[in-house]
Amino acid sequence: MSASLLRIWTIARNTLTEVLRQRVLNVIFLFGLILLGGSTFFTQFSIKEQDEIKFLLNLGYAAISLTGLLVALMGTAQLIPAEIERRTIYTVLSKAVRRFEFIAGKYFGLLALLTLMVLVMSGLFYLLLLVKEPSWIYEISHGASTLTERQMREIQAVQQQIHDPHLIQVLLLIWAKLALVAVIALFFSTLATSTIFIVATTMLVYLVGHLQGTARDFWMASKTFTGWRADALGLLSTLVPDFGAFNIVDEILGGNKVPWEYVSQTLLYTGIYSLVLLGISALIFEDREL
Amino acid sequence: MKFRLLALGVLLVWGFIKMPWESALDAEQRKLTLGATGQVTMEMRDKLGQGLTLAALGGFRGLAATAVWLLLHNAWEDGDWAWLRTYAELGVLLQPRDTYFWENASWHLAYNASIGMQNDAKDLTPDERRKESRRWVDEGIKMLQRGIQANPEKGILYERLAELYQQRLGDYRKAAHYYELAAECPDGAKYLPRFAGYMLLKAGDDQQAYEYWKKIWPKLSAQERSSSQWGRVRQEIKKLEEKLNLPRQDRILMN
Repeated sequence: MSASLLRIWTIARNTLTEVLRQRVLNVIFLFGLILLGGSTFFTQFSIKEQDEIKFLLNLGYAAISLTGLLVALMGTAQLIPAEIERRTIYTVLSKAVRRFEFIAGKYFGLLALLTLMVLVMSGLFYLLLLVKEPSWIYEISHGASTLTERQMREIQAVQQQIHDPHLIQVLLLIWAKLALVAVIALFFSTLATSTIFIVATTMLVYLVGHLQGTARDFWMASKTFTGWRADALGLLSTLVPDFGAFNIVDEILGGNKVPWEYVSQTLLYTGIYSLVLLGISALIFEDREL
Repeated sequence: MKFRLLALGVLLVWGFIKMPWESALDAEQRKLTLGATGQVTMEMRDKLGQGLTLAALGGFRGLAATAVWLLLHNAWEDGDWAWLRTYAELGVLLQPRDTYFWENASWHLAYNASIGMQNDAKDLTPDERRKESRRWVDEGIKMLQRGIQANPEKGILYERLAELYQQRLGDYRKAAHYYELAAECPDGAKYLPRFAGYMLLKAGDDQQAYEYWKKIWPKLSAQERSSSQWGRVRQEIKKLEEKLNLPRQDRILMN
């Protein structure tokens, strides 16, 4: 057991080193940083300081999410096909490494990259907010030593928005969503060798997963889906994860309080889903002829 | 092959296990967002363009709303009020639980579009301009009322509606009513109860203003009562007590 964990750990570590060296991922990460920095440009369209923060929060977290999505897609899609193409997979699997250890190691390596990316980007984003905080406060107070009630309230609102501990929920949910996208991409990479195919199918599952709630609404409201169509919709629901659960991020960014129970339920759902899909990927990979 | 079949079996079994869980999460999310998630998503499909729908349904609603707001800003600069209204509608559709979009959409309609119509619609007669200007104020009011329906617990929207009645229509009774509602919200600012009273005074409802202070005054702490802001209210109460010629035992302030 411990030897198996050690092998998974070794593969994960090597995968992390390997993906950190990939130019494509570095370019995506750079693009994410530019997006994050560029978000300050859009704040000129806002009227009040609180509006500026609103724009920054929306754009900043969208930048983290979008960059993470691209990294999860491109990074995972290349994991196994690249090993097969370079024929390094034969060397690894000819050693005392089981196939499921290889799959798990690869996944956890990429998950480490995603974690690192989310941490670095959110850290930089928080720093950006901290740098801008004094100027926002100055804009509200106009440098006055005594403040009106309204000014005090506005300053308090600005500080609350920047240091809102609920923003951790946003990061956790973004990270969980990325972990789920990565495991879906890994699942497809055990079935196919084409990177484009893996990226396209994962993207489709991602979109369908977001549409699940809407489809369910439409289906329930219109009552036009009966018979085989209803069955097909039901089957689709069993196969595709419900990404709509992560939409609660908008509620948090809108300044609304979301209980930790909901967030932890979503994280637990993602965790179990990822493990199940990881297991399924390992099973398929066991059967695969290399 | 046997592993593949096993994988398919696991996937299906997990699928049936996860479905009730997903439904429960979905129901909880609807409860937390006061039903904003489902309905709006349905409406979105019809009103948003392809790109924005894709962004919104791909989990980037905030980003789509920000993009819409940039377009709204351009429409505002161009004085294109029809497009401004369209973008305002899209913004609140995408982020119905974010008060920022409701209050700013309403501000653009009731202030910018309304005043713009009053000053710049050279092709209209003065009477038509007045009517058009008023119509935009009403649009702003409707926008805030819808915002309140989607966010009944947010004090800021009641406050903005009160300001709108006060500043744009001079309807101080309604302003007082909404300031009072704003003050009752958990996030209502401390100055709001004072504002509600002042509005009643401005409306000329001395008796009602006095009744209102009478209701509020006992709830204040000693520190609040001695503050300069509430000191002004104390003066107003004293004036009212004299003006209404109230018997001593019915007065809030005995001395």
